[in-house]
Amino acid sequence: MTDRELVKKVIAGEKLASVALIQKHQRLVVHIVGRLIDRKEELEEVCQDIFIKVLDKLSTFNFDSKLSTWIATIAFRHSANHLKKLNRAVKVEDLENVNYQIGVDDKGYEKEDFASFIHSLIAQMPEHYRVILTLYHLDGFSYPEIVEVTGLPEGTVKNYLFRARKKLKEICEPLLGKEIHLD
Amino acid sequence: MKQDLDKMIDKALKTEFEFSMSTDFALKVVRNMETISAVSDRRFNWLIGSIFSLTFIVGLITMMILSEEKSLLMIKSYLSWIIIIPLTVVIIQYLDKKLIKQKLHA
Repeated sequence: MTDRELVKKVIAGEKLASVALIQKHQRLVVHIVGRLIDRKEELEEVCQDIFIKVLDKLSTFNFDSKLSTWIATIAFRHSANHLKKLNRAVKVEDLENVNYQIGVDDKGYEKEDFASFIHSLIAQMPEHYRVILTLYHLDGFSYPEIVEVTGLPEGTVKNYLFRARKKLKEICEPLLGKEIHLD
Repeated sequence: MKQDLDKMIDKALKTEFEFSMSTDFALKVVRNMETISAVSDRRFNWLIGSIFSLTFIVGLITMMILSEEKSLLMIKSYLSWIIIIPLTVVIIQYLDKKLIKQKLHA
């Protein structure tokens, strides 16, 4: 079923269509919220609020952009507002100012843990870097779509992506061949 | 080696990170949404009802003040209108719900 058909059915009040819409975009919303909100106990509640907002405002969506981009924008803004309310506003920090916590010893290197290790490094990056990396690599968003979601200029998005990847490489290079302990 | 690292980072970035959500998450959201809209519908109905009642009472008082009898006895002369107007409103609302809104949702 196309997004257009799905949206039409949800607006007409079809419960199953609403469930299908949520299931289709749940992963994307969890990616954004999970990258911004550290506390796991808040994750589901915030995701729920986002989908309630999405369903409530769906009749105003006019397909100027992709449905996923529109939902991601709501998810990003809602999460940022949630953090603001708790005095944990999204900060535009510099990537270089972060003191990365890495657990490493000299015994060897476990490749299967590498993805978890990379995700633990991303979790320590400033919020905008985390969201941009996730939207680009995990959800396959294009630069203009990320611009729409985050409200950042395209040049900044490209720069953040480049710098974040460079930083990950810088951290990982000296660790090749060593075992990484994840907390 | 560096190319390997690039590939490894790429692969890691495309790997799903762990998160736990309840299995019936979508259903829960829809149920919550239904509860919220039921509450807001109830509030809206109360608001409309209050506005109608208030308008009716204010109208009645105004008519009483402007009438020659200056008492509620003047109701007798307007009795037919007092019945016809609310009845018309109720009939229109009923037909709107049955003929238009139900067809829109069908």
